[in-house]
Amino acid sequence: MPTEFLFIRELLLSLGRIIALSLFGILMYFKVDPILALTVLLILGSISAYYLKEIRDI
Amino acid sequence: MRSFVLSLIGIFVPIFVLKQGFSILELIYFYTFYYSFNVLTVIISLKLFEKLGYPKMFVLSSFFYFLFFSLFPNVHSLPELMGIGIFCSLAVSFFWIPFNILFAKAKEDKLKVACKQNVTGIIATALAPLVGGILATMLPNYILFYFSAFTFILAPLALFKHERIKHRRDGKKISITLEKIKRYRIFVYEGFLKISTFIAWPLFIYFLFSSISVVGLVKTLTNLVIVILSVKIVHWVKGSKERLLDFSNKLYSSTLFLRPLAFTYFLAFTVSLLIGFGTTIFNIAYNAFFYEKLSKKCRLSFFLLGSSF
Repeated sequence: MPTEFLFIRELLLSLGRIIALSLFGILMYFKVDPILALTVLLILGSISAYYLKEIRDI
Repeated sequence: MRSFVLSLIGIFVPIFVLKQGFSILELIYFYTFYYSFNVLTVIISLKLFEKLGYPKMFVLSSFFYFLFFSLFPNVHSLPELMGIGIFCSLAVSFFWIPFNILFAKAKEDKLKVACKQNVTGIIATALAPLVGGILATMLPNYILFYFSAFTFILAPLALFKHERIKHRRDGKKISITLEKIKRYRIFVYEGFLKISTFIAWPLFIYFLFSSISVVGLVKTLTNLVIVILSVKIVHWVKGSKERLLDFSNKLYSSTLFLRPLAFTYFLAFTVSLLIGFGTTIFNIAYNAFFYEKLSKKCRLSFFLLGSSF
């Protein structure tokens, strides 16, 4: 159903965003340099991008 | 208009929050609350969309953007910032749900739909940071803020013309199982990537060069490449979607991988150029698949509804 599909998509998008922000928050809480924390996020973001090709299989 | 606004969201909102005197941890709290609340606003948006249809949803979205931007300059504490995040979340959800269904319903080949959306949208996207970058250099912050607010409020109204497309009630209840979450797990990756692209990347450039103008110029360069390439790419993508997705995905993820190397102006602009190449092709291929999946689900829903009458 489109409604269900869209809802699950938005739910999981939010989950991914919250995981990313929590990771950044944890790094900042432990006084990691902001540039280093952002670098971690950028690298993990590019790895996430690689898995987006699975869109054809869902 | 949509892309113009999206670009402004991506570049300026985290920086506006920091410039308002909030710390980076408070910015993280704001976004975490905002995305958590988003799950609730998506349900509200889905329910309302079935009742109201496209135009009223776009008007409501504009209204909530108006509330968000009207209150933003007066916000000086974290609870207040989180409070107005509710309006922003409502505005975004009320816009995206109808927007995605609108594109999924287009009768053309989805690759062409995604291509046209990219070409027209990215031209606007290229203009946003260019105008924003120039304004940020020449004008005080509050002018840039009200300029952004104006475009945010107008963007949903740009889609107001789609009044004739009627949406029919879905009727089925939403059920979420672990199996479905596993099946659609790539959207978790997409969510992570969105934070990495729209929040971490502008902040990374902002912290490196301590200038909002450099953020605008880096984004402009990326988008100019995207505009030039998008116009050409319409003629290239006549082949298989699968091959395009495979090729573009490798290009996209490898160009994104270079972002942490942007330590000097030269490297920042070079990386932006490469990201422009990667993003254009991948966005078209990814959106083509997404609209196709959504379109199939819309058709299935209408078929079931039709057979039940």
